[in-house]
Amino acid sequence: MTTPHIFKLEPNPSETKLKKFYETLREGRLTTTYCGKCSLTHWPPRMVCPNCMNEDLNWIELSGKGRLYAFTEVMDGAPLGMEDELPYIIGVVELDEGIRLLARIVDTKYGELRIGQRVVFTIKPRGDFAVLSFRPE
Amino acid sequence: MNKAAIVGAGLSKFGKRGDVSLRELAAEAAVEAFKHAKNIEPRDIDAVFVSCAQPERLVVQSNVSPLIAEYLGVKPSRGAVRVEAACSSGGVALRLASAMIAGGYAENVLVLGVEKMHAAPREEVMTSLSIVADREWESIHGINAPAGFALVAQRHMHEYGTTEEQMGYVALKNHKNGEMNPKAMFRKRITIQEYADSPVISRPLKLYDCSPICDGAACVILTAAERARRYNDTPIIIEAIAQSTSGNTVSSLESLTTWPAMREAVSQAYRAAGVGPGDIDVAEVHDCFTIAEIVEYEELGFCEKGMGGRFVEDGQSDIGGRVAVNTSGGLKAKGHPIGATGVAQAVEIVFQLQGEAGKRQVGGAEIGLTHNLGGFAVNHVVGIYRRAT
Ligand SMILES: CC(C)(COP(=O)(O)OP(=O)(O)OC[C@H]1O[C@@H](n2cnc3c(N)ncnc32)[C@H](O)[C@@H]1OP(=O)(O)O)[C@@H](O)C(=O)NCCC(=O)NCCS
Ligand SMILES: [Zn+2]
Repeated sequence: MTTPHIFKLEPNPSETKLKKFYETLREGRLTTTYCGKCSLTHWPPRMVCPNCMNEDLNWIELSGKGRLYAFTEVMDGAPLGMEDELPYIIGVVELDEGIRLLARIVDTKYGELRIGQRVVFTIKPRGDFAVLSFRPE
Repeated sequence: MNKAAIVGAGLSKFGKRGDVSLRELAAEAAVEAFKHAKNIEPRDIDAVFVSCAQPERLVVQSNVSPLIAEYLGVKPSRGAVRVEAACSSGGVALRLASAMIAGGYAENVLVLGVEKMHAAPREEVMTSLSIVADREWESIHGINAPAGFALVAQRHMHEYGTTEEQMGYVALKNHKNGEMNPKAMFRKRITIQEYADSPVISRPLKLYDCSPICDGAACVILTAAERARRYNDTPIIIEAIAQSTSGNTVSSLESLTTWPAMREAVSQAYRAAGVGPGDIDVAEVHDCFTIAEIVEYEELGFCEKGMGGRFVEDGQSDIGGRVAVNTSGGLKAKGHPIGATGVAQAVEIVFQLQGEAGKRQVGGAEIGLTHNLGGFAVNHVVGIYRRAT
């Protein structure tokens, strides 16, 4: 079947200044930017600090550990290219650093998950893209 | 400041409208709005706002505001523009149009909300809805609107003990109201058993928690309050219309169940209109998912935080309850054509305040409220309306 697919949802790592993020992600490391001027860890990573406009940001590695804040199992309505992954679990993870982010929750079943449970960062391949994921600790 | 008044309101039939194109759908609502008003014709309109969220993807057409203006025979000497703010596009368009009138930039403004969602392949529609989230950081995980609000539902159940059955009562009420609205997409009541048995879309949300994919259009004609009686015997004054925005991602939200941007818009609107939650007789709120309506009762101050589930279960938001909410059937039963929704909410409030809402009329309604939401509950528009005295 030919679908009218203009582009993939996955960003092209060579068309963003966040190339480093995607390179390290593929190596299984979760990184982000940090502003030394205001001691602020960002999420998502960015090129300019939203607090002080500083462009001289540092890359730091996150612990990759945190707690499950909320989660759902998607049974229907996947966007293009993800239909074959249904059903899948999406969660909001609260990292020990205090950052909240959205990610796939993998290597588990919906019925086995609980709000507040410990999870750790992992990646799952989708073609040559690494999907930011978490699994129970 | 010159307040704006609504002197004409119209709605197309909502639903699966394979029989009309985008512009024809728009025209159905516009023609009804001109008929609802008096002494005003397309040539009297000097500015046009079209709210339409994703015509490029859904019907492969850009620049829809001049396109629709031309089709309607409107030559807007003060300009035509399209407004996009995801599901809150209509509310934002209404607010900008009111500001044009308040600032003296235009005299008679046409606000037209429209979306045709059924023409595109289903997976294109799902992708279009998904990219309202942040594509690079959220949509790539396969998030869609049901999943986003499923997270809200889970947290609300966890923090306040809200139940699936209480969410079901929102669906029951809105389907019951939709049955009385000839323009609604779904005109049938449902039972709590049918609700419980409906297929799971994104746990814990089921089909009957979701607003549908829908085609539809809504239109209002605005003019300055002091000129309004020329065009309608019972103009409806926009006492206040406020908008507030947080970020876009879930990372930007303090909480999934407390929405500071909504609180901000709500308090701005109440303050500007000089009213409080106890004064509202009828409200159209953004029930894109049943849980959203529950959170909104709380953020609007209709009940205490965490008590939204109880509020609907006790019938307080029924017609005849403390405040009638979503008498039109809401997004749930009337339908949710993205760009049309915010305008359609105002249309229902106009009919209610004019006493023209037929079987679903709220007796003696004097003050109405609209709440229109966009994205991951990140953008909120709140309007307050009163019959001209
Ligand atoms: C829930 C959803 C995935 C269901 O879509 P779908 O499976 O393609 O639905 P279909 O068109 O195949 O309809 C199947 C049946 O369910 C009915 N139906 C569809 N959506 C419905 C809804 N939300 N509520 C009640 N019934 C619905 C249809 O009328 C049809 O009934 P029929 O078999 O008697 O004719 C879709 O409605 C959806 O994505 N909703 C959310 C839209 C959204 O995200 N909007 C933005 C919100 S911010
Ligand atoms: Zn900084």
